Amino acid sequence: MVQDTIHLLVKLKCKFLHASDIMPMGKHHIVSRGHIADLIENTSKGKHKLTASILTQKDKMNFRSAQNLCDTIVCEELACVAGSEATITFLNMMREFCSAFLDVTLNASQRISRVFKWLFFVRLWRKWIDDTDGYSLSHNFITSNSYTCMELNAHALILMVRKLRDAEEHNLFLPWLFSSQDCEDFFRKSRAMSPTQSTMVTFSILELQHKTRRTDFLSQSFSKLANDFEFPRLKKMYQHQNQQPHVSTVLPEDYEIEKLIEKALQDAIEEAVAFQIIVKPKSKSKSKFPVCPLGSDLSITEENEEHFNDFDVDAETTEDSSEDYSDFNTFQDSDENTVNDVEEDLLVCCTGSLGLKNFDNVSISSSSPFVAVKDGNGKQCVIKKSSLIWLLSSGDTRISSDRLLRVQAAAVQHKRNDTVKNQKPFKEDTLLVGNWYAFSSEDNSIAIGRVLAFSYLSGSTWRDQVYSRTSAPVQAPNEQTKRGLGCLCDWYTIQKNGKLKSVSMDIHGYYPIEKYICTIPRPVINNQILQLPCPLREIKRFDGT
Amino acid sequence: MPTGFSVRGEVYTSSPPLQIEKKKRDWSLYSRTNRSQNKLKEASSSCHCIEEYFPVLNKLNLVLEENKRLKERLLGALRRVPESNGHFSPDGSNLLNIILECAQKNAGKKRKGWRYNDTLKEFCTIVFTLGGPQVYEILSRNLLLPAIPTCSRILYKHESIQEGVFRFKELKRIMTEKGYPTNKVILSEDGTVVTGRIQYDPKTNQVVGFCLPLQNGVPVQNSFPATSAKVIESYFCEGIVSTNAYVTMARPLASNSTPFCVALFGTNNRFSHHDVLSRWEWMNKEATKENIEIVAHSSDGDGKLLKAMVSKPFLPTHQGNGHGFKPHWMFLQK
Repeated sequence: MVQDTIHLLVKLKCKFLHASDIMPMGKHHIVSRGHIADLIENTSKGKHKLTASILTQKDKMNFRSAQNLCDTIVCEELACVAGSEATITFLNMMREFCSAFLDVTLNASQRISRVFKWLFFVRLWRKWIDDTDGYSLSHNFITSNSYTCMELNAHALILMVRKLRDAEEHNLFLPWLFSSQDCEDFFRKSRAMSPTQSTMVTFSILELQHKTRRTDFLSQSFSKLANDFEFPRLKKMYQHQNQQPHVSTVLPEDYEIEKLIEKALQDAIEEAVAFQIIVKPKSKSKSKFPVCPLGSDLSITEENEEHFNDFDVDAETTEDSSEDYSDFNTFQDSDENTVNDVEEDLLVCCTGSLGLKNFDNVSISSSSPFVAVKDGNGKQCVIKKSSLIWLLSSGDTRISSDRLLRVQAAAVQHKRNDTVKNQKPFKEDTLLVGNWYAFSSEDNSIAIGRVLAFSYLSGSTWRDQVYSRTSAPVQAPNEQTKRGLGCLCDWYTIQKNGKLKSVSMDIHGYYPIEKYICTIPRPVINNQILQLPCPLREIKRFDGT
Repeated sequence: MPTGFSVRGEVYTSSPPLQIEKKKRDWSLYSRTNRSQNKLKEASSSCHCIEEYFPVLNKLNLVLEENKRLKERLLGALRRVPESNGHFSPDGSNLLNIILECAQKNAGKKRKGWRYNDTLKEFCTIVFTLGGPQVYEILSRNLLLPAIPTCSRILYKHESIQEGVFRFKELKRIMTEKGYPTNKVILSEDGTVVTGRIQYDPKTNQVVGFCLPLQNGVPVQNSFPATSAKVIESYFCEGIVSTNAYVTMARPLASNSTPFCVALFGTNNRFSHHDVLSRWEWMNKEATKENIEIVAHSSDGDGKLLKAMVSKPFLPTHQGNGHGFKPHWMFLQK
């Protein structure tokens, strides 16, 4: 039982880039796309190879961008962004958990260590969020769909190792095949089968059957003729991007697996402690590993189906089909009164003459492709079954063939004004994700915050409150009703010597944007200590006004 | 000192000694011998005839006979040209050989009466399927390949997949044909949107495009036979148009394996995880009949399949310890 790793990676990416959801990791740190925004803004593109378009959610199911996002070079560069530890850990988790299945060069033990380290970490994290008041698993944690996928995949890995080891087929341990990419590939090929039907990107079931025959023919003929002819593409297919796949000769024994898992647990706890996520093991539980009850979550799965369909590009015709039915039904109703007064097996198809080719001289049987019908004048005629079906189907569910439109590349974003380069604090009208601002805190002192995300503070549903843009006005535009904007920040207090100290938050939340005082230049990092880049009094100058 | 000689218009000269050229202006061009040679050259430029060369060849042979070393060197060079013995050589000459063979066999026949061997026909069908009719038409006309209808016929003769049929037998056959070292496969399933078009399939005499009814989660094949006009009409009243094509692919556990489409059927995505579970159970049974072992089912995180995977005996739980997991290995708790 495996869930597709590539889908999992993309889903984690989607959650990570979700506009207004807060994913706190410990009291100090937040997993946020704001750090990535900061990185893109302030570091040259050559270093991290990311573009601002990665932050938009236009092309949700893009695997390449997910891969780029959690690349090691991004994590290395993020180290220079203050307060981004949680984001780095999250990206590391994405990368290592998925590469444990996709990277062909790893051996079984490495895979197990990676998968379980991050699985345990996610469990600890999940437990912590569940236990903390004010956070909920549905909004502050990865989706339950992704979490369940991670659990399933980790277990599948162990099950597979044990199964193949006991069957003495060590060399068949090929985890990169544990995916549903074959299906995706099949659909892709069918949609873009070149070139006889290259303009037809949509198909019906029958057309898909024909296409399948072609793919079948090709794959079988290729292997049949491989001795006589050369098919260069076929050879390339097996070269995993020039990487030599690791073929295991001996899969680990049970006690070895156990050791690996225990080690992984230690690693995970280490990671978690760094974020002050400490979960005390319950004495009741028999298990020495943190156990997560899954059952409670499953009720959410249904809801999650819906959620997933949101970004499944394929899910838009379901409504049309019901419309179709009403069409069929009306057809039936109008037909009912006329059907009764003709002979049993003959059908009146239309009023007036039929206008279709009459195959009078063809003998009919139930399996021949022709049927007899009566036209409106009472005359019997023999027509093709396919014509009859064409006649009966009133409206086809057509989906637009320009599928490409739906996954269009995001429009080129123009570079934002480099206000940050300004060395002095100043006041502005619009706040940007990733920049540093001074806010007046509740006890009227000054707090420094780097904005990570915005959200509406009022709204009837959660979805209503989502604010997806990366810039927000301090004052609500005049023509619009004031809904109240809040910003999620990495918070710092200013100490006497101008150093910035990270604030420990019991619950991360959105802070009203009206408390904005001024924009400050990007703080300087010196030996992991953040230094306020300008004298405090300059900020206080704005505070009075 | 050798001078030029001519054989019926073709002139052979030996090069004049280099020293003379250097001394002074080159009058040798206008010497008597050269003048006559030039005349001969001009005269020969207008007449080329193949038999004119045979005397040259004879002469060459004479030279070769006289110069044994030259002969040996030429023969040595010839030996380095690879012999084509009709077998596959990496530069793809096999195709040309087959075409040549066919052309020789069919020589003298009308173009329509040509017959081709099966390998060539199959190869051409591959080219036709991949390249499309326009490309293939050009190739077939110019390379003396089978015509398009031949390729279409071969393609049409190839076994087709029928909606709702699980092709484990074919899977087994292909696995044996390709010589995979295992009988273990991974099944993956997923759906994609299709146009809700209803069509008639003359090959199976079925109306295709309605959702097949599920029996224990397994689609019932041949549910919509097109027997008469009345019956067809009734389908339109009662049938549910499928909006999704649901596909099950099998991937043998081998690094060089290719995926195989085990089943495809139309659905409106209204089935529960119970359907999924009973379908898996049925599929496992069917596969075992063909001596195929399904080691895992895989999906893309679809809620129904996820629920099916979590809910059932696939995972080690406290209760069912069927997987031989040690107690403290049990991570999931229901």
